[in-house]
Amino acid sequence: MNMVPMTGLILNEHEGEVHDAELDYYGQRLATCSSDKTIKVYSINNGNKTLLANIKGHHGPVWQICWSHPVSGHLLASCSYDKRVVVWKESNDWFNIFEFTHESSVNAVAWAPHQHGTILASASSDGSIGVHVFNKEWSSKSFSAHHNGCNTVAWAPYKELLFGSDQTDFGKKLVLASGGCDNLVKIWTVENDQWVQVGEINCHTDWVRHVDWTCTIGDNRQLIASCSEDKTVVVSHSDDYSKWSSVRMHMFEGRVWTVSWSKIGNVLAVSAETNKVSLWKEKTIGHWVSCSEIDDTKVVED
Amino acid sequence: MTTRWSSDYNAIEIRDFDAHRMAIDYSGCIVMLAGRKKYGLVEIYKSSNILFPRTCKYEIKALEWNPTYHNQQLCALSQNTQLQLLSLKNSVSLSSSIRFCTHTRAILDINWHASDPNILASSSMDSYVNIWDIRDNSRPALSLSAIIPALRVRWNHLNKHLIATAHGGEVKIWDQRKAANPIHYITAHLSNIHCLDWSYTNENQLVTCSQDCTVKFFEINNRKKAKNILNTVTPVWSAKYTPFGDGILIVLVPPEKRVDNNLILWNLGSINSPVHTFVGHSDTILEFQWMRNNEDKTSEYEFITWSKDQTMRLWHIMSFLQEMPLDYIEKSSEDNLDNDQNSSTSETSDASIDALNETDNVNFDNEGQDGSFCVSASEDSYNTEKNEEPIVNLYQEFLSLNVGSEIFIEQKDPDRRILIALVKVNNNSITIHMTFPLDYPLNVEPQFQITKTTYDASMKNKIHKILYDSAIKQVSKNLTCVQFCLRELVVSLRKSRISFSESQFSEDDKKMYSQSPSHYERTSTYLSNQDTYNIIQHNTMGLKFCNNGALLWFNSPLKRKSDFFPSISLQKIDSANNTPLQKLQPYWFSNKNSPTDGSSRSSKIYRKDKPIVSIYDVSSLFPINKDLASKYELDVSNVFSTCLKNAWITNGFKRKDLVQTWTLAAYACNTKCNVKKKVTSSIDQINNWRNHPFTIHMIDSLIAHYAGHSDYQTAALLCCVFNPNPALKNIEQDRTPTPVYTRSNSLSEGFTFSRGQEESTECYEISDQGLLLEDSDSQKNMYYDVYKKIYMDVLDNLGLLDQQTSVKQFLKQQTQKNSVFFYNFVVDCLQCYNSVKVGYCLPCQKFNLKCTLCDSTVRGAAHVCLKCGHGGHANHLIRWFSKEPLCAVGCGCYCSFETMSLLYIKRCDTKED
Repeated sequence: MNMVPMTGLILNEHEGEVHDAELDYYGQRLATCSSDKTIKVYSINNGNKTLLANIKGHHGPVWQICWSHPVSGHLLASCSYDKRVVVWKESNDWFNIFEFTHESSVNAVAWAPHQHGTILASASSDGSIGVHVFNKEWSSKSFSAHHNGCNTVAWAPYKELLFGSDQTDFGKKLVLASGGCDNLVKIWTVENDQWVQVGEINCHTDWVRHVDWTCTIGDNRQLIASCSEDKTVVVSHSDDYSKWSSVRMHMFEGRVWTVSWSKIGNVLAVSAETNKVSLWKEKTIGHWVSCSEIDDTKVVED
Repeated sequence: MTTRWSSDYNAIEIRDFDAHRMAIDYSGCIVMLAGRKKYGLVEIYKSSNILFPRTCKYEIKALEWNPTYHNQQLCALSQNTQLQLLSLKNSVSLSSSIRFCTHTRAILDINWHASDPNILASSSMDSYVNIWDIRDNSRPALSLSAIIPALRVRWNHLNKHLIATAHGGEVKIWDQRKAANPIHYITAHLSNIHCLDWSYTNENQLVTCSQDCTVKFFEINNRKKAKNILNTVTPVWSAKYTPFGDGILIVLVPPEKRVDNNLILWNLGSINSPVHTFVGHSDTILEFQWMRNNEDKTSEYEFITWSKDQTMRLWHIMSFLQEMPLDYIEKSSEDNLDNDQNSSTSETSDASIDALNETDNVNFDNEGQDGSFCVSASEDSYNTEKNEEPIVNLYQEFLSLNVGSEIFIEQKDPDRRILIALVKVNNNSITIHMTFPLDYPLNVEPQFQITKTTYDASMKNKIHKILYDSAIKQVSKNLTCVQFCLRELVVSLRKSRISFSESQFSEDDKKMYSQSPSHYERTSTYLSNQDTYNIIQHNTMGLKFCNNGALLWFNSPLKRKSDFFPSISLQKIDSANNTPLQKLQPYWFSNKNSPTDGSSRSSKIYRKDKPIVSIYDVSSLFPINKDLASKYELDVSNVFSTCLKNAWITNGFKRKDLVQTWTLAAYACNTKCNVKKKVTSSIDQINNWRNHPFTIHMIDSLIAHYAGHSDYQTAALLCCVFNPNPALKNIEQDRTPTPVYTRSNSLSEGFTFSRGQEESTECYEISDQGLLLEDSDSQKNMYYDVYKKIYMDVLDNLGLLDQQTSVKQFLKQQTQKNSVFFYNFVVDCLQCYNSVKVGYCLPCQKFNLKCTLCDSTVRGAAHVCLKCGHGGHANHLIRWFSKEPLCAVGCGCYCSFETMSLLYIKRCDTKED
């Protein structure tokens, strides 16, 4: 264990709280969204940041943003309390190229793996998930997922090859996981043009706040990390999409807000209510250890 | 059921005093009143008032006496951003003692701690709730930060740590000891909360009341939904628990012109109906407060109200109201009813309608035609509400109409049974003429006529339908429908503004809409109407991995110390590699962190309310190194030297583990043994390594090892070097151009490398230069391809596209697949039938590509149909196919269509890759 003081911070120019931030595919642009109803895009090249754009257009706090893969043209999707999902495209300025209105606040957006095309999923407090497909033009389909509100969505990673499985197209299916206020994580896939539930993870005792999905390399286990208001993080794994076995990774002190898998190495980043953030790694199968901790409470004098 | 009588026993009238805030002190004798121009003290029992003029232009927004004996002389008041403590001397003079000025925007509410005499909480527009210790006025003892400013702030009466704040329609519960975040978060109401109060008996219970005409009771440990909901017809201005028993006293925001009966007492044991309505004030009640008349323990509970009618009234709750069980109250109220009836004036009967309308399940009993009616106060009224249909005559219905700000009743005439209403929504207006048949509302709906409207005809039909549908809905249950219909209409009109296309609004409307500053307000009202029950409290901080291995951390800090640096402790994720631990730090802004400007930064930029986003370069956590990636060599023509070079490169990065690996790899494929002559004795051994049966396994296990530790960089490179594509190798060795071949008039099916039989020879051929892993194991090959693909993905993220392409060449699968896209158009010479590459046949000295349209040679831009092979000058073809679908030669081919479909299919294939 080495304690490393953090030596620099980026202070954001938002008026309100920042709800989400994301780097684009090449890590050159940072987008942040806030309660002040705006999205800001920064260029972060050459060791400093410059504000590229301040996107206005939402009428409520913007909860989440998501960059698309460059093959879809660096689109930025955002969702807001104003019930709308908006896709922004840059050409000099940022333009709203697609808009979808849910019945209630939209809590999450996520782009599907780019191999599937330009597909966006959105989760709303009205309990529905919207799937928006761009194929020459936008088309939207929404289905009811969690009866009292859906908080988060995550797509299954695209895998060209899944060994040990008879179905060669298995990893190429469009599959998504959603978490909601019914304390469940549900797994959905498309069958005959309809979204049907194929799996369910039922091991939270309170609202599920965030889910993230990854696939291990080698033994190809599907891993879904989910965090909840019940202060736990659960990692569930499956070889197909229907049967999931879950391990409670850790019980935190406060509600857990986000989970995020690293792209390689299956490291899980967890942030909890108490300003605690930590990184976790699977030591042996089903056994998770914290491998680093970013501790906010320590105050180091400048 | 409700009983009403005037039970105040002390009314003090203060003329010409515009006071809008009132507070009563600990002793219950002195009342402080504050208005715009004056403020002053009133002694209740002596009826003496001392008024002071005010010069400050800001109103006194909040006012409260210290509720404890210890500091009972202190009164806190707020004007604009300033919080001020006044100290009372000799019951006559006030001296200003302390001022707190930390808030940056106007203060909205203040509240003294229920038990600690020195603690005061204030909430402000600047979105902070500050908790002060009055002994230290320089800065707040604690500062709670929320996104939205708190309209109300209340300390728990029982638990000294808990404080509740109301933000719009939401309630946050904070614990002083864990002030960083609210411990509970309740999405309580659809619109602004006017008042909130904690229970005196249970520290976990609180009540909120709101503009949305509900009073809700919450148990903070079970915060997902209200324990109980009290519906009212008008917005609720104030709701406070009774200090005795299990009751609640509420003040309603009165509907226009009828204001005298909005102070209602409820028993929480049975919230179906109010226990008591206090009548007396002739104008809106602005404030009420329970009196802490502690000197007289035996006395009944009292409370004091201040109204717009410039009177202060003191009410006492008769003991039977406090202690008697509910049914007793019912009976006693029935006794009182006679009195009430006799003395009822038309005004009070109006009032009773209103009181009765408080809840949906109150029953009316219509007696007689004169409009006076009494309350059926029987015990079983609770049970009978479903059987007994509440039938109201038109007169009553019109009287009790309570419509929103969008609806104006222009005319109501119960005798002629008509009502004319004007509805104004979003700059559009509509006049509705309603006539009521005699049988209404017994399953007979009123007639609607739209007389004047700014909407177009289709919208008019829509409106008519809305009115008709909602009327049917109500009258089918024999309920009155006017209010319901109008409200439904307004709701749907508002919605149409948002969700329908803009085309239905005239240009002028659009202009007004876009210019009007109230646009946002309007939308926000609309938003506040949405059901916010299940909306989660959104993250104000988060941690996520980004594509290129960066770790992004954002936080909207609540309260931070002036200098604040989260420190990071870090353990190497993969201890198998001996990579030196690098410092974890954000990878930009570091240049600005020189010690010289450090001090100025901390004072200037580290404002506590600024959210932070920081990016950590966590590449040290992962074994893939960007610099190595850009330097690594992948020259498979000489595997040995490539390995040695890579070893040398890794040495430059102080990765001793990798130096060893690459050196080992180099020796493993060493052919000529011209390396280290000094270890002559072992040269033979080294020489033999190549032929050693375990060498291949060693490389295999090396790859497996690195892959197992997520070092896909090393694994993928080893795969590439030791298992190159035989085809690729072949090409490079022969230096032949891509062996793709097509005929002039037929489409190439592409080229696939057939590896099956040739493999052995090629392996043999290549193994002259190095060592090859077995190519036969398809399972292993698949793994190796996966490693390469992962590494390619990472390279793509890092923007190292050259490197990515060079790795891509080694993909086994891709070669097979990609060959489909290899197109090489070859023109056959018309004379000698040899294929020509440049469109000119050297032996025949002829240009071969002729335009099918002009029959001359094509030298510039040419276009050829992929299906039939006919083509020519691009501009000729463009002109041709803009009019004609068929090929110009007459072969019957739909050239443009066929070509497009062929290309489109290919593109789909590409996408999958």
